[in-house]
Amino acid sequence: MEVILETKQLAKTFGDHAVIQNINLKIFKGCFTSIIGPNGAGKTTLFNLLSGQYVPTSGTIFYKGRDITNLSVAARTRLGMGRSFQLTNIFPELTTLENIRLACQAASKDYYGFFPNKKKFRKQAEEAEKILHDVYLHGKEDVLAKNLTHGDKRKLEIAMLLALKPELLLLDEPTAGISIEEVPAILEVIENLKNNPEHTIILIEHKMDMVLHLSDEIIVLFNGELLARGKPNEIIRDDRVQTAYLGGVPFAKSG
Amino acid sequence: MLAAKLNRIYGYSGVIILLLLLIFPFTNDSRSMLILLTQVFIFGIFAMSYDLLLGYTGIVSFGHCLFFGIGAYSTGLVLNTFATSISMFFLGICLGFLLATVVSYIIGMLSLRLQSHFYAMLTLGFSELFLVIAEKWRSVTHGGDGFTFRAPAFLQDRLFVYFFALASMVMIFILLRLFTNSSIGKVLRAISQNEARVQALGFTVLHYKVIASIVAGIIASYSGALYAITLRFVDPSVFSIEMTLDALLMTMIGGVGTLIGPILGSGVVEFLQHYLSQLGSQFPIFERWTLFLGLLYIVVILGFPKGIVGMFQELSKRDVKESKNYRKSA
Repeated sequence: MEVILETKQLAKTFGDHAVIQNINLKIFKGCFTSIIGPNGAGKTTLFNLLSGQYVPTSGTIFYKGRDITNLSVAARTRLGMGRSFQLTNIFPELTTLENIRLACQAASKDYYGFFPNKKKFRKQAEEAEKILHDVYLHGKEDVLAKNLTHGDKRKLEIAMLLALKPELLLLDEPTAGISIEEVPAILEVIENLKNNPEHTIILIEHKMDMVLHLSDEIIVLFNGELLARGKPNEIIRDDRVQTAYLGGVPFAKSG
Repeated sequence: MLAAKLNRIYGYSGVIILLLLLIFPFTNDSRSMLILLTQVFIFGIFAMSYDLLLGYTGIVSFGHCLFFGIGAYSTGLVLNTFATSISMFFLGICLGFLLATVVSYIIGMLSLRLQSHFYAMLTLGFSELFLVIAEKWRSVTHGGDGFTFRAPAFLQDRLFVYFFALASMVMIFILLRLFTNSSIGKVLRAISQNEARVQALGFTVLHYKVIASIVAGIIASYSGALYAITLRFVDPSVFSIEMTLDALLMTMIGGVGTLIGPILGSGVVEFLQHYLSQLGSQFPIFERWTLFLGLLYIVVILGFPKGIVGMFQELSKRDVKESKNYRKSA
């Protein structure tokens, strides 16, 4: 299988505190990988390193064989890496449709037009409409993003990611803070993402049933280090994971 | 749709006001009024350029007068040093554009990758620097007293200058409207709301901010050139912090994040300045007329943070809501 993302000896320290250390990862194309670990294990920091929000203290990151360690967030996005955020990260004063259209504009490389191009904008808006349907947000095109319910904001977050047409999707806790009733809808959206063979997905998630259901492979982080990796059924049986993460209680849901 | 209807009403009233402004000089021969309105147009252009930064991109500038002054001095100096002709007038404007582009590019590249207050401080620093240069480099700038110069013949006619300023304002309004609705304009608006997300969509935010800074600089320099040509006189006060504050307050009063707002704000501030200072001859307290402007600013910021335009938008929204409720109950 083709390796799409690889990290070598990746480390990040804040002051004296090593948040991430010695991470050697290989993510295979088309795979659905989940990252689990207790709070503070360094999951989001790892994502921030992968997507370029943080610069690693040491180590290198390769995307499709290319060293991207020093590339900016924007440059990585243009290469085909997209991410969603744990804390909802949208444009509050724009409508739902305009939020997605902006992402479509970026995807169609419409960067520096000095004058309005109605034809282009209409095409982008049509594309955005389609994505809106894919994430079950239709009927909310003209609602200002800040007025959406929390669950809908999470869907919008994924819609914007989708609009970028990334090959590698980094999903940071897509179900963070949403109510139980809204989980199935988000889960369905993620399943649809997974069914697209073009997509390689890395997911951070706390809901273990979801992780076990979706993942081809699970990576367990503990204190910033890679504790274990393997197929879901291997991970459940792994003693180290049981003691470190699940605290000896299988499938305990943590925060 | 009621909102669309209201928009059309605003559009029509804009056209009517424009027509009134076109026939005004022929129905009224008050010279001071003509000059006052010309000032309103010029500062309307200046305030629009400021709002491109503040309202559309979310960049605060404390030294926007820098570009205004560059435009004023370039035009004044070129006309004073070389021949007084139309081509020299345009050369002066172009020189202003060039300088404004270079200076705003340098300031932008230095500071816009950092947080927004670095841009504010750096523009303030540069404007003070240019103020000192204008005062001290006597052989070129004639020092603190400034200098008078002759304007090309066609620009000596007050009436022509009036129409020239009005046409400039309308043209820049249209150009900026196109610009703010373009691909770049849409990204700018997004940057003002959530810069990190724009970056994560694959746009290089720095480029956009620098473009906004350059466009605003060029337009401010154009308004400075017009200002110089109406007075036929330039002095270092064009680089003073009061100029920047005027632009800021016109934008705040008119409505941040709109183009018509700064023009309205310019009208309010210029007319108030004019009438309040006139009242000074009757009531001594009005000799300190800036006091009253200060009070007005406080009232606007506390009571109407979205300015005149924002107030109208709120009203039309309320109308739309009410009509919807009405339809439901009917």
